[in-house]
Amino acid sequence: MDFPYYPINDFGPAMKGLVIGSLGIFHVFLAQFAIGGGMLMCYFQWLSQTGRCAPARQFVDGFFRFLVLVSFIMGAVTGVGMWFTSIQISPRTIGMMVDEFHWIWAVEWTFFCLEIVAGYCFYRYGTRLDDSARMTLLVLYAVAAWGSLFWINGILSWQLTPGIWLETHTIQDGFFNPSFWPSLLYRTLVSMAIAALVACVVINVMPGLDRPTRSVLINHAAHFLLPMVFMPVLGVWYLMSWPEDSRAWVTGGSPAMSMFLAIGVGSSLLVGAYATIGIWWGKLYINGATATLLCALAMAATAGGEFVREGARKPYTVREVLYSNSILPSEVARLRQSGSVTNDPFPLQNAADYPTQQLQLGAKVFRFQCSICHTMQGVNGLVELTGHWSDDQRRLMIAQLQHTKPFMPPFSGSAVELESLVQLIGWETAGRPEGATEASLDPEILERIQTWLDEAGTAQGSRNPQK
Amino acid sequence: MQSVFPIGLPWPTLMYLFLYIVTLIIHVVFMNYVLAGTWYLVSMSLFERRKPDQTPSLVAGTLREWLPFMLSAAITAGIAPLLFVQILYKRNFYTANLLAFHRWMAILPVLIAAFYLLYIWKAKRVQAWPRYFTFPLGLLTFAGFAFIAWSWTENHLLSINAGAWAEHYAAGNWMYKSREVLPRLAVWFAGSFPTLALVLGWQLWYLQRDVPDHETVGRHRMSMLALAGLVTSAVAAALYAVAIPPEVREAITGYMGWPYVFLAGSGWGVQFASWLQVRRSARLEKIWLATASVGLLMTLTGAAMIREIIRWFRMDEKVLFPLHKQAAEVGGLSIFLLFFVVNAALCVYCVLRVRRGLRRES
Repeated sequence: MDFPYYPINDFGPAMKGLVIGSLGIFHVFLAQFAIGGGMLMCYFQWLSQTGRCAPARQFVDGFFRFLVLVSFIMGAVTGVGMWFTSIQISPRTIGMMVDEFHWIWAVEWTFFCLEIVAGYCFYRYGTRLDDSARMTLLVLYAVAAWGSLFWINGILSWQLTPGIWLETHTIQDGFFNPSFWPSLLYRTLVSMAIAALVACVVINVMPGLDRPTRSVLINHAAHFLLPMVFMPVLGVWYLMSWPEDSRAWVTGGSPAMSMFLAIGVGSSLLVGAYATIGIWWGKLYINGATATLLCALAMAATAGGEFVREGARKPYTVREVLYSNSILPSEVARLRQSGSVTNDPFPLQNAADYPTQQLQLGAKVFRFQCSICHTMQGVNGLVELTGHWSDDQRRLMIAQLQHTKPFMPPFSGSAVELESLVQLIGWETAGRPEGATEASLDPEILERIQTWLDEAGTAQGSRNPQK
Repeated sequence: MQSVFPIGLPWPTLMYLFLYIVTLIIHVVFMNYVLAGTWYLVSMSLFERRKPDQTPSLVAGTLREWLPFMLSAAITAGIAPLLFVQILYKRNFYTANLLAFHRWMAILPVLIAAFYLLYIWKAKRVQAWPRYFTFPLGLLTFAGFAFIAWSWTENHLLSINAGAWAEHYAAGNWMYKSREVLPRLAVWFAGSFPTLALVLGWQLWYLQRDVPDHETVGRHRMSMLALAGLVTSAVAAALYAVAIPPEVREAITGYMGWPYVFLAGSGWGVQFASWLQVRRSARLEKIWLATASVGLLMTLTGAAMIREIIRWFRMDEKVLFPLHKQAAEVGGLSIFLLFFVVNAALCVYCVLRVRRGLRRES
């Protein structure tokens, strides 16, 4: 059987999703800052050259240096880092995305190149150029930055809502999928808001500006926060474009995801209300500390939103195509027959820690099928989640996993493998007792497991079994 | 494969290979500039006599000014070959990434730190610092890039040695020890100096193009850098040839790779002759920079192809072809070509617009 086995790394008590999530949130925040920053620069350049705001030019030059130092370095490197981290977490997922959308990624690369060239031209020579040349470079920079969002948005939204691509497999159907437009518009507004908030911080720390000048600049920057009033509508549109079960997880079905959605929505509301009522309407001055606090809230909103977007795909990484443990739905039946780790060429790194062959097999099954989302004892640990169950409960729950917990993929191994996993969890729960002996496999137990596996079937479960 | 590489490969494989090689060469030019440029500045911070007013020499000043942009360009240009390598050699590339996990992920913070250090190094205030401050700062920056180069080399060698994967994983090794690592790294490092000399040579030529009857500043130094790099890279290449298995060596010098050995060797010769001419003449002449550019392109193309031959010789090509065919069946190539042309034109337009603006200003 030609299954692409990879050497899976153990991150100890840290859940792999948290690792990529942390980097992802940081990168998304920086990238959206760069996108909104480009637009904000164009706006301030326009204010300057039309005589609407005299200190705008000084701000553009100061802010652009900050933009380059933050987004060109941290943004670019964490962007590459996302690729590297994705490989560490799920090489098969990123491989599938590259296979399907490599030309789109290549298009995005051409926009990166334009962004770098236009950005550096402005960075090095902007102060010596006339208004027309400055505006040209800034517009090209802003278009390139937003263009990179346009292209990557198609790939990321495809993961959650592949839509009719599942039938046609054409690139346009995959790219312009059901959540493409709401996601793009929503992210555009987020980018504008983040850029405006960071601008408020920068204005407060820029040397040579007096209080009235800062106030004028902040009030102009606040114009970029105003479109946040459309966020609730766009957010609802985005949510409605999701599959029903994904929507159900975040709106109460999963407490953790609902909580993260609430953090995202709540933080956005607070920022939006302060911006609209306080800064724009009330013309309030916003000092550096408050601006930083608002940025932190925006970061919390980003974190909540990204967590929800990632979590809503469960049990898939590419909806209906690839399960979160990197197994194709079409492979489940075969793996149940052959065993999921029978042909895995990579031995355990710490085989000596497991005193019996059955526990070693269980460890390999855990590594292959569970470790992408679970730890044994740590974040989302199996010991904590299932340690208090009896062996029989574990057998039943794991055998019928996709039905007992519909955000889980079906178990994709043999009955022997399932029993090994159950014994491993029991052994770990008991604190790895010494003197464990090779367990004989009771045919009756195996038969029972097989019956449960057969009853569950190999297809994905549904919240509503009638469907 | 019993013919000259890559003749006989299916067209999807050829297409991705072509794109990979072209984009890799672009990336390598920027990468070489950064690697050799940092090393050069480190050496200069130790040995070069300072002017009384603390202003840097034209060579060092130009390098300091351009290194951050060149690194940015190297990272951006590196995205494309990183994309195509995933299509061409997905399983090998991903497996090596996973096996070299700690080292591989460490290159990200190291790269960020080295990037910021380049900006710090560029600051006028820092340039006026005493040597015992600037030298360690430079050395730290160079160490960052050297670490990344070393990690890439090990990662690449691990990716083409499937036989070592299971053992490497089981042992939980952080390093991949192979007799090929050091000579291969030496080829890349030494080979980066002729690239630096050429790109910096063009920059110095441009900066001094309007100065008549004047010995071009940096001419002698660029030629010495290039010649030293060429000689050292040839020695390193010979050592690397000894380090690789005999059957791979035979494939390179035999039926698969002889045109590329010839191409790389000829390019080396053209570069050597050009830099000798630069050394003899009083100025950085455009003609010799142009011939050296052609030579460098020949050498880089030949070397990149030999690199792929070494890789292909150790891989099961039959497994790869269906994957490339499958990847080539997805749409989007025409969109890529369209935006490639449009955005390349806009990049050129940006540069022209700045030139026009600066002319107006002066």
